Amino acid sequence: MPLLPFSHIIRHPSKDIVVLSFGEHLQAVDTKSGVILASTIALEEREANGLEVQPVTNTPDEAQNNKARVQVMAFSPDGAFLATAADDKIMKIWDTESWKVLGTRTLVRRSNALHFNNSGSHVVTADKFGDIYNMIRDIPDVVAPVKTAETTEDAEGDEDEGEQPILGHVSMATDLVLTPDNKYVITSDRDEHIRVSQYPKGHNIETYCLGHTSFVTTIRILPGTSHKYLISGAGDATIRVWEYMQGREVQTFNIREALGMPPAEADAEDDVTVFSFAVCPTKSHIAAVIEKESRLLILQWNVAEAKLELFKILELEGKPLSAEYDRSGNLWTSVVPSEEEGKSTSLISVYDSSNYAIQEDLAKYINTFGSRTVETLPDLIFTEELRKHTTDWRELKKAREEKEAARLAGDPDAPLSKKRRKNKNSRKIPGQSSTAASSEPSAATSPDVAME
Amino acid sequence: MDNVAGEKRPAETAVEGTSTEVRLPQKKYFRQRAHANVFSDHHLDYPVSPAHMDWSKNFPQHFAPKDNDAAVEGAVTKDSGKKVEFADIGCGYGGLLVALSTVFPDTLMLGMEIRVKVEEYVNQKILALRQNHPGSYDNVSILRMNAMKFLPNFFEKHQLSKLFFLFPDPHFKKRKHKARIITSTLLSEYAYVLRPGGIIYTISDVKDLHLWMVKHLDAHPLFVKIPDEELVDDPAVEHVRTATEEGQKVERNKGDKYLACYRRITDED
Ligand SMILES: C[S@@+](CC[C@H](N)C(=O)[O-])C[C@H]1O[C@@H](n2cnc3c(N)ncnc32)[C@H](O)[C@@H]1O
Repeated sequence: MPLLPFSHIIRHPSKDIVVLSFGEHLQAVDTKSGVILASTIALEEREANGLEVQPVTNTPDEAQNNKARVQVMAFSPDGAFLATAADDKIMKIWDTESWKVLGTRTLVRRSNALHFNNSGSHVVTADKFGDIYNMIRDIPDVVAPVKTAETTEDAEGDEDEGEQPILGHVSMATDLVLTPDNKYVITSDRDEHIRVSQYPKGHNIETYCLGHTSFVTTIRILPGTSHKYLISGAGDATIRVWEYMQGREVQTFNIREALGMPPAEADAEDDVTVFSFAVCPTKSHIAAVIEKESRLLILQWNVAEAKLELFKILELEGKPLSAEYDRSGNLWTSVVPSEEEGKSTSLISVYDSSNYAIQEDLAKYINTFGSRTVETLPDLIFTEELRKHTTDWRELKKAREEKEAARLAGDPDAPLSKKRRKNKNSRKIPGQSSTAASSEPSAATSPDVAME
Repeated sequence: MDNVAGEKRPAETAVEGTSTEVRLPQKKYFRQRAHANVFSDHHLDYPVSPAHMDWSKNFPQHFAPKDNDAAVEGAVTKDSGKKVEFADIGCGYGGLLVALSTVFPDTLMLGMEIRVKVEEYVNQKILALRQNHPGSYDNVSILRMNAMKFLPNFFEKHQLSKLFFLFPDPHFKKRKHKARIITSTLLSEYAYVLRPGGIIYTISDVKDLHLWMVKHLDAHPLFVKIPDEELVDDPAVEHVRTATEEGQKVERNKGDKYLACYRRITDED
């Protein structure tokens, strides 16, 4: 039976720790020894592979109530807090010493990105409906009124109740960053936009960074003293560099070219998609995780010339889920295990900071004792709802939420994908192939005309 | 209903021989269900950024085509230097554009409408008006667009001086309020495309919607209400009340019209 892969890896800002999420759970790992320091689930009894089991400093706590898949994580700048938000819209603030939950709050909608401000007093979230909230860290559960089956719809629609967003996109918000001086918040969306607004007075829009031709998935401020460059990844097979205060694109990095792939076919609906970036704290390296591509791009940000260059292509053991540099510059990567019979994949691989040589020792402990066993692997790649279909994306979202609810109600190990195939026959999820025919639909019959 | 605003054409152009006139399109052939879902992915053509926009198809007398092969017949070869300054959001059958075209003959104005058939109608009407009145109506055009999503793709920061929201869809149900075209977060985007001093005009026959728009505009830090006295001298206001098809329908039904106009202030500090 497979182990659940790690969806996200994030480094502690001031300690040699990375936190990894798998499904609804977290594990903190010492990046010097590779040992698991903390876990929100009891470690399973496994073949020790000659390793000595180290005590986990905290015990799993029932009160943490970890029920839904962790979608996003962020550390406070001082490292004292970790914020996580899961598919059930619950945001948790964790104490990073005891690894206990200090507070929870229900978000209005599922979060796609979290970011602490510099003082750690607020957490900014970007949600599926495009709204950006600036939330006080210490006040739990003030946002959403309690929702019952009947009130859910109404409460969702009424923007006058509860906390107000500081800005909003009429499109799914996909990522957000605060500038290092915290004067601006930069947000990206599914409709190719990157927006620069004042923080926290988000109603003052400074500019837009426009150039991507497909959904923007991820944005980061590039290292360097000026902090004036932003890097963005998207579903259009490019990585772009921006002088974000001017909204000026300074470079388009072509991923297909870098990977030696032929150009996309003219009528292809989907293209190579950047999943996420990892920015190295010790040198100007950026790792770009590409969806369903086992080759990881290691880019070098040439500060002097303000240019992104290809440094190395790293061949991973499988399709990547996440990558993160630890404090000493080692790169931690996580992949989906191979489904091939008899082939065993390491969930985590660590590469050293100088020449990206594999560090088996560091990954051994987490690969031996980490994560947990599941019967079958759930869907782990969620870019479907970012892609443009002439079908209302909220239907896709609803289908997924129903599926998730069914999973939560029943066996938490229930395979997501299989379940959908079995009982959701009536609800067709448009796949990449079925959208090829969606040219201009006739107005009267098209699904984009709402029934009023 | 068929009192198309274009028939009230200015006297000096009305003397042209009627035999050569192009027939204006008839609205009955361009009807479409009242509401389109503003959140879904329509098949829309929009430029990656304002710099990518080829306006020559909309305003052939003011913009040279970006790509010479795609030149519209009779189009200029050099830009006039003008940019779109007025935008009528959800312009419907285009009555306001046609009326304002001759009131502000030197200003480029664009209607944005999400419904395909309605856009086609307005487009044909403008083309017919241009043919029937050479030298007029070159300053108005329409685009099929979801204005709630893509305004920054068309307009640069502070490009517009007027934005019109005339008789917008009311979306009565509470859970549909998010689909309303005036919301706190959208107002920030409208403030981005409007220059300081620029004006948002709103009018509705639905009191509830009017109060909603007023509430959100009042609450927004970048907009201030324009007092009624100041509106008296604004030549656009009369047309805001009467020029659109919806406005005329309300008139025929003896409904109320609630007007609210706001000025975009200079940026906060
Ligand atoms: C009630 S009509 C009013 C039309 C016109 N302003 C008038 O006064 O006659 C509202 C119009 O807004 C259009 N509309 C609604 N949402 C829109 C959007 N997001 N972008 C562009 N047009 C939109 C509708 O298709 C409809 O034609």
